[in-house]
Amino acid sequence: MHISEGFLSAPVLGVGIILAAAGTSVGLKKLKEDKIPQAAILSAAFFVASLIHVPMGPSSAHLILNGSLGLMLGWVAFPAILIALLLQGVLFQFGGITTLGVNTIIMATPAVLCYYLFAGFVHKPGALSHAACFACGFLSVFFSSLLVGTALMFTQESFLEVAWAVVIAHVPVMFIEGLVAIFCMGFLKKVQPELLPKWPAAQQQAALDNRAKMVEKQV
Amino acid sequence: MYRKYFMRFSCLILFFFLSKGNALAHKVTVFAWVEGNTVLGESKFSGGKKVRDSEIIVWDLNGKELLRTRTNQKGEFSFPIPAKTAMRIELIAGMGHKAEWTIPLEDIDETDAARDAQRPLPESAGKTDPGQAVHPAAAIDSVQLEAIVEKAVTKALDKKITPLTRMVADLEQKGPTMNEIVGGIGYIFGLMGVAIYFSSRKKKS
Repeated sequence: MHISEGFLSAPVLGVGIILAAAGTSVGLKKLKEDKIPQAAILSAAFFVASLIHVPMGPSSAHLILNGSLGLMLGWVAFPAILIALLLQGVLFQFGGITTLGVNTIIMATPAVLCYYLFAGFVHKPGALSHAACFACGFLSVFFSSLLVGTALMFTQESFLEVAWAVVIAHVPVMFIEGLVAIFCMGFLKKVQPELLPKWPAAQQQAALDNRAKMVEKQV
Repeated sequence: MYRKYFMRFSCLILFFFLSKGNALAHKVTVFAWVEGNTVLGESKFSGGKKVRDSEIIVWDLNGKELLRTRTNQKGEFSFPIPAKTAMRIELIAGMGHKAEWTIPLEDIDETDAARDAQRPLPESAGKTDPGQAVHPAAAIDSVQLEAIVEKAVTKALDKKITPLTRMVADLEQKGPTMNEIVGGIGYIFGLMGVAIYFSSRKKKS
């Protein structure tokens, strides 16, 4: 889903860079000190995820993980994704330097959107939380595909045609992203629920007590 | 309890690393070379998948379109040299994927020279000057010999070099290596350190 260099016209690139800069500055403002390591680890995960390919469809289909990342980071997803994309561009020649802004927008906007849509549901019990996680992974890729279509619309064929092709190519990735999100969030909910968004302090104490109890049991 | 989840999680990760092999991807490359008077080329997505049935546009360096063709099912393409200029070959693989390769003028010049050499030179015998006429047979022989040798050498070289060209093409198109991946992760953690450093300084002051 990385748009190569030399594809887009200058105005599109410019708008992409401006929006990405704005998003990144918001993200950096919201980046608390204790969240820095988490952001870095998720950024690294995003950086590596693009190397994991899903063998299906006629075009590029690889894990993106922007949904899970957005769910955990919120606006901080912007700087995290920007850095990961920059390194992918420099080291792997995926995407490119001039298209960095546009690519960041394509990946990070759905991440933030998913945060606002689904963060409230993560701590709900059982099926509801799973459904929210799946939708988060699924829809983040879907929105990214639509954004690719929008970016290409200004330079290439009609929006519907491109967006349709990109969405179709990413359908398998959407499902896999959804499953990955369920697994990751389920895992984190059991092990480190304070990493997930909207985690109230009262619940934190309860969870700590719970964990202590469980450790006692195991001993 | 934790262990169960940890196992499941690591299985998932393992699964993804194992399924990395046959790939579709995001970077696309095109590589072309001149053989005789045709240009041959091949194209791949990173990870080795061929770019099937995609558009190839050939430009000269001034931006004039020379011709269009498409890649076949194996991701290969070929076309006769359209004009004696340097060429920029552009591959449009759809959905924002694009790559290009330039063939410099020298490549085409050289093969033109080789083709000239392959032609028999009947008038060359008549060109021999009186000084050489003392050994007419030898003079004719040396000119013809030169042509024959050149032809044979070109042919043999072509045969030897073609696999090498393909190897170079493969090298051009290799995916990210382990060092790059680990290096990138290192960069990210380095940046994390920088960020923590600055935020801790801000807190102190």
